[in-house]
Amino acid sequence: MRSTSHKFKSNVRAAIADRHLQQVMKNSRQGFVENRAHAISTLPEFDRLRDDAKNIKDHTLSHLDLYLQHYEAAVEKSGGTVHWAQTPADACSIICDIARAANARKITKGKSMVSEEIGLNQHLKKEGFEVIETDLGEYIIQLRGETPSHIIAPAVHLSQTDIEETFREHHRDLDPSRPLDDPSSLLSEARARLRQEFLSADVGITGANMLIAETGSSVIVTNEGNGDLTQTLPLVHIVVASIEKVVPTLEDASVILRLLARSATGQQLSVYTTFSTGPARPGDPDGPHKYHVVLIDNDRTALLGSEFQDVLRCIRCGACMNHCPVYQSVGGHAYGWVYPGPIGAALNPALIGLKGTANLPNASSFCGRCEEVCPVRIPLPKLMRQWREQEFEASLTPHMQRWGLRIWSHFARHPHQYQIATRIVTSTLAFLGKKKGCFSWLPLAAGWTQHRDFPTPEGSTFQELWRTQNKTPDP
Amino acid sequence: MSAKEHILHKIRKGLSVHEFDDLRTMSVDDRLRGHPRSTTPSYAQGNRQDIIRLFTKMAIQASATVETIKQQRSVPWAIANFVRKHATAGAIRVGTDPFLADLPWRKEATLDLKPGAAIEPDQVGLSVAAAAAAETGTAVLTSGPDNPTTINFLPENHIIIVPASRIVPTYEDAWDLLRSQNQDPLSSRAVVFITGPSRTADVEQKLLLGAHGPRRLHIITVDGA
Repeated sequence: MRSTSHKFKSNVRAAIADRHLQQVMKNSRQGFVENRAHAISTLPEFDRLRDDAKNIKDHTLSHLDLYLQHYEAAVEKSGGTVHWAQTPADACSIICDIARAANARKITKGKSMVSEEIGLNQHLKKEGFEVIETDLGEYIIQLRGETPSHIIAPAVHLSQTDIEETFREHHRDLDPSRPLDDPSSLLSEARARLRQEFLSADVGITGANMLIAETGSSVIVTNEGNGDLTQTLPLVHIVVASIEKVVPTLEDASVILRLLARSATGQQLSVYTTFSTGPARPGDPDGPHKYHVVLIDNDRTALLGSEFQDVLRCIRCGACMNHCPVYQSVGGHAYGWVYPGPIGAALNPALIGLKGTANLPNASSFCGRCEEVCPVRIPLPKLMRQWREQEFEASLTPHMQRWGLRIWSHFARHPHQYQIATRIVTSTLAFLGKKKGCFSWLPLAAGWTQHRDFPTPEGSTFQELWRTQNKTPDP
Repeated sequence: MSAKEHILHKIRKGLSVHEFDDLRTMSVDDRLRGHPRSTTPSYAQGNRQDIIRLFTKMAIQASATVETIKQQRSVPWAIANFVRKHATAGAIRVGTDPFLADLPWRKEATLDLKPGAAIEPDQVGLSVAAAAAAETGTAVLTSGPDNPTTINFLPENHIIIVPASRIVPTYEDAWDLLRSQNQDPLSSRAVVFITGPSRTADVEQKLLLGAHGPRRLHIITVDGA
């Protein structure tokens, strides 16, 4: 997928001016937050489970080479095949070769973010395959030629009317006067449509929420059942997963399952959690005859042992974006690449380079809610801060900002000068703005005054107030 | 170097570790062999009756319907009731699970059991759970001739028989039960955790039951079985 993260600022302006998007985002905002809060309130051990999950992930990452080898051996023992891919291009061509060897024409797909990351659909299409996304949200955006705007709710930026229009435009063989004005009629139409695709597909591709080293299983977590129809009905099942998805045992997977749905949608558990291990056994009446796993690095290995390693604990629940004031104001597309929200700000610079994505770790008020809700305790604000530091060190920061920071650091190191300077500025502003009570324009502060007035200071600095108030005894 | 060797090499380099390190190998082998448990929910504790009650409560919360019958031989009657209630015509798709053998199916002349994998347009599927985890009202199904996986997903209505003795408090207990039934915990190709009927919220976050999988999930727990 081509990134537009370098245009983040203009993306944001467009998103904020987009009334339709703002309305849709406003309607969906509270649901995720409230549902999560409710689900967690019924599980007193939630915070201990977060610690457990963090420990499991940290242990796995520090033994990743060994667990991946155990995982591969277990997959092969069950009759499956593991392929290793260093780059997106390698992964795409491996998958293409498997599909070609199966004489495939039609490929169904379950929702997979790593497949977005490697641009799999475009590649398969270019190679002549028909690819059909089967998750309802993914199906809708595929028809519209869009990318997901949220990692678990890919069509969260669309209204019911948008979806109705899309179906009318693309399902031309159906009666144009059919009623489609409620969500269930849209669902029925998609269900009937996709049922035919499931039954006629030659290859099914899914992602994996986890891979289990103990058993060689791939785990998918879904609500619709589309992922299971994708991986059960065609003769060939291909799992696409990045290397950090592996966990040691079924017990470890159980801990993560307790956190995942509760953090994501606020369900106690998603409807279907399926552990797939190899192809159909002799005598099985259904299931794929071939089972392939494509393990993708795509620069994860560069994060191991680095100050960004924590980001590899991510289980892709989406809680950070659901609780992020920036994401909730601008939506997912403004971020310009596969992973939006705080996790994108921490991960995208590692995957596609800081140069084009430096705006993302800067798009944060550091309110810290993302870290508060993260089920695997990823210190997202800290990671974003580290990217900002790297940006500064690599001289990617804009000129004015570098100057500002330099002046700031001078005063920070000389508190006496700082006190004098703030006293001068505060009293000057207090004098100038006394009458109006606020400023609608200030030199060097257009970033603030463009959008709101700057209130006139009362005349004394914080430190002066602190000193006088501390002298006054408590009443 | 192959891609695999490249990736493993880069991992070791990043972690600053060596390929042959007995301590690391031992720590991994111990964890895989011992599969230790972490925290489990305290609400999933209690006597047998509490656990069965919790399973029922959580399954209903996940929009399944739950019915309890006293005897295994009443299973055909309960299924006939469900079919009558929802006026679903046609055959019931089912595997060869031994739990269903030797039941008085003939007493329910209207029931037409069709063995094998599910196909379009099957309306009702019938499975027997290998285990059930009370903590979230989750039925655990294993694939194979006894319970073909397609039965879980293709028909509009899914009936799952849960013998009460297989209801355990947590997921970890369910894994132990599967491990005790088989040498290998995953000798089946697929293990499916099912928690309620299929659903989506992809249209404006409105919850709709019956997405690509079943619209109805009916669970029949069997006491004393």
